[in-house]
This record gives sequence, structure tokens and C-alpha cells, in this order.
Amino acid sequence: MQMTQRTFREAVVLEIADEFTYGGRKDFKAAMEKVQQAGCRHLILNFKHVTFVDSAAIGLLALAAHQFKAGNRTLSLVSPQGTVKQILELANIHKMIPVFPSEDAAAGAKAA
Amino acid sequence: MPPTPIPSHTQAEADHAIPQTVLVVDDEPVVRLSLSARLKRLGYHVIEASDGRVGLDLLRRERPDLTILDWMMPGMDGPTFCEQVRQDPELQSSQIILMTGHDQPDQIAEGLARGADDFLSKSASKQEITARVQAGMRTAKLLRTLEQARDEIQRKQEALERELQSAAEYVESLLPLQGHVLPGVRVVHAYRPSLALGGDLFNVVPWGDRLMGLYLLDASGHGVSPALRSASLSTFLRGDSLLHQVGSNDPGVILTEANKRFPLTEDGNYFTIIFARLDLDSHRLSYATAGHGGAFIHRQSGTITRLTQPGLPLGFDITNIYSAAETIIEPGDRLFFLSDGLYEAPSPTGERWGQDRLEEAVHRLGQAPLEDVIPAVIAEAIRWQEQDLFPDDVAVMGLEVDV
Repeated sequence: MQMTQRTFREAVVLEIADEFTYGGRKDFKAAMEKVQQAGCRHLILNFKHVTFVDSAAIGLLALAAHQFKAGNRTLSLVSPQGTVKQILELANIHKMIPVFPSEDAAAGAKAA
Repeated sequence: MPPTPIPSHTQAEADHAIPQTVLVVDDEPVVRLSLSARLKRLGYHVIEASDGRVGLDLLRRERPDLTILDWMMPGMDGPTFCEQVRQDPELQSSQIILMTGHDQPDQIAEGLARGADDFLSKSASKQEITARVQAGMRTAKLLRTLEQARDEIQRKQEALERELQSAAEYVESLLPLQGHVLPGVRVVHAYRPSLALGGDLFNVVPWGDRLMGLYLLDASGHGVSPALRSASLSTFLRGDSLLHQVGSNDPGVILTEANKRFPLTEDGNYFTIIFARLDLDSHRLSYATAGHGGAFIHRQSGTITRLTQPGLPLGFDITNIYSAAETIIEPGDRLFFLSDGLYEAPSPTGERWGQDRLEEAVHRLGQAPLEDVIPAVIAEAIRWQEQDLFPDDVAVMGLEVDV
């Protein structure tokens, strides 16, 4: 798993690439902790280049959704593709984290 | 500069109640006796050998803390002695000082390369000999401490593995017996945890002769914690427990209650599950799923129907209400519940086997006996990933209805 962080408008974007699995849990947790400590109010997880998510990744997403909700902050998920999209849909992740087709749409929804 | 003071002769005795032992291997009696006498004066216990073979025997038998070894000896010379010691797992950590009348750099390099730990010239001063022996003893002591720690870790590891094995046997004892679970209903299953303990569990819940529940749950994560959580959920799903704690055999109601009782853990661990109720009189299969994708019916006609409903895994939102869907099971139809560890088996290039290939494999096997179908499907996944061991737990439960 690879992660890059940048800002887009008022949001922090965490772009994840390759397989997001149990092996990447420490990196993901550390990145989430870092953005929350930095006072991020809106985090966009860009999944455009994620090729696979396993059950551990789903659990981390749910945990992140709980944390952001508890902190009254916004978490968005952008552009899951193919199998990843199917797995996220099976787990109804959109009920916990709103899913958008683009960063633009995610940032716009927050602004609105 | 004045020479560094050498510790008194009683240093070795001060360090240990039992004197440390030095093995002196030298074919020249005068050299051997002289060195032995010096070492004894320093407080060491000394044993002697007049050639390499006797020296090796003594090393094996007595396990001295340090060996001082002559290079040139008839039969087995010093470097050959060192090589044999390094090849022997029992002896390889022995400390050896190689001694020679010549201290040419090339010879020193060869001696060290062939397994000596240090080098000592026969013309070395009393102070140098003392200092090198003491340095060798320090290293020997450190190595002994490391070996003892390693042995202790190994003992604890073995004890832990025995405990895990015992726990694994308990978890497997929770699985249903294979064969007829009700008149006209046969169950065949396979269970392949990725570690000693697995987080997948499945079972049947008989409610009389004509009605039964069945489920397969998959705990995220691997090892002891998911296995214990699975055992706990499995206990909740026992027939008597459901009667008292849920008061309904509706799969949706059961999962709604389980969802409240098994929240997402602080580490992000949770369950996916499918729970179904099979009524043999009406042939109705009622089922509810919580984020679980591995379930389908292989109809006697050959068609495959997935029992997949999008739904939150257990514990993601404790206010969530799960509802049941329904389908009909005809005689000859087969129901398969499985964990994602099977169809997410990765090929060496990382491509997942996938549900489509899994279902094609089941379809190809047609009406072969269920006892053959399940192992054959697992074998196909193994061929796909090109290794026997699955990276995730694999559980498959097949159920065939004959009536």
C-alpha cells in the first residue's frame, strides 16, 4: 500500500494506491492519527488507485468513520473502482462514509 | 605509558562460584603444561588434550568455556578443529583461541576465516595471554547467557504452541459433525485456519426435525483474539441461547440482536456473517447477511444463485436493523456458505481467484458427491495460488437437501 497526502481546497486528501490490506493497517492508523492531530476538519480518502481491500481495511474504514463522527468532522471516500467498489458496496460502507465520484464533488458536498 | 594492571589471579573465581574451564589442546607436552599451569594460577579449571581428536571429544563432553588450540598438530590441525566445531550445531558457539609460533597476518586471517575467535602468539607476554583469555571468557559468558535466553524463549514458545493447539482443538470441536444433521439434510465441510487458530466458524442450529438454522461467521483479523470472539458469537448463536436471548428464529432479528452485542472493537475488528433458517416443510430458506459475500445455492438444474445482500458487517452501527430475504430450496439443491479466504486466494501475481471462478468450479463439478466437491474446489484454489497454505482462514460448509 502506498499513501500520499496533500490538500485540496479546505480538505486534506489521503490518496491510497495498490492493495489496502491488513499489512497496511499501521501506516493507515498512523496517517489517520496525524491528520486528526493536525486539526483536519474534512478528510478525503481517494481510492481511485486502490486495487483490493480486505476485511481488515473495511474495519479500519469503519473505525475512522466512528472517530470522525465523534469529533464532528467529515470523512469522504472518493472513486472506488471495480472489485474494491463491489466489496465496499457489499459492506454498505456508503452508509458510514459518503462516497463521491471525484474530489471536487466531495469538497463541494462539504462546502454545501 | 605504564601497562594496564592485570586483575588478580582470583578474578575467575570471583566471577563464578564454579571456576570457568579452559581446554588446552596442544601436542607439545611442555607448552601444554606451561600454559595449563599459568591458567590454573589465574583461577581457571584446566583440562588438556594432546591432539585435535581427543580435544573434540573433550569439547563435546565437558563443554569448556574456552578452548586454546595449537595450530600445528599431527592428525587434525587447529584450523580443521575450528571448522569441525563451527559445523556442529551443539558446539558451534564455543570460544576458540588459536595459538601459533608464527603470527603472520595471512595466517591470522586464515585462522579467523576457518573458525577461530581470536589469535594468540606462542611468544605472547603473560599479560597478553591473561587479557585474551579474559576477553574470551567474557564473550563465552555472554554467549552462554544468550543461549540460555534462547532456550527459555524456545521452551515458552513450545508451551504457547501447545496451548494454541489445545485452543484450536476446542474451536474445531464447535464445528458440526459431518453427515445428516436432520432427516434429509446432509452437511459436509472443510476448515483450514491460516494460523493455528482461526476466526471463521460455522454451525447448524436444529429447531426440531423440520426446521433448522445455519450460519457461517468470519471474524476479521487472525489469531487468538478473533478465535475467542468467534467462539463467543458462536455461543450466542446456540439454539437455547437464541431462544432465551432473542426469542425468535428470524435471521434478521437474530443478526439485529447480535449486532448490538458484538460492536466493532477498538482495533477495528468485527464479524461478517450469514444466518439462514431452513424450513423443510415449506422448503423456504430465509436468510440475513451482515457484510458477508460467501453464500450461494447450486441448484440441481445447474444454475447458481448468490445469496448476497449488501449490509453493514456486525457492530458497525449498533442501531442497524437487519432484515431477512427468502428463497426456495428444492430437493437436490445444495447450499454453500464460505468465508472470503477461499475466493480471495491470491495468485503469485496478486490476482484474486474470485467468486466467479469459484462458482465456475462448483458448476463444472456438477452433481459429483458433495464430499468430493468441497475438497476439489479447495484444491482448485490451491492450484490458483500455487501454495498449500491460504493467507486467510478458509471455511466452507455445504448442505444438501434430499427431501
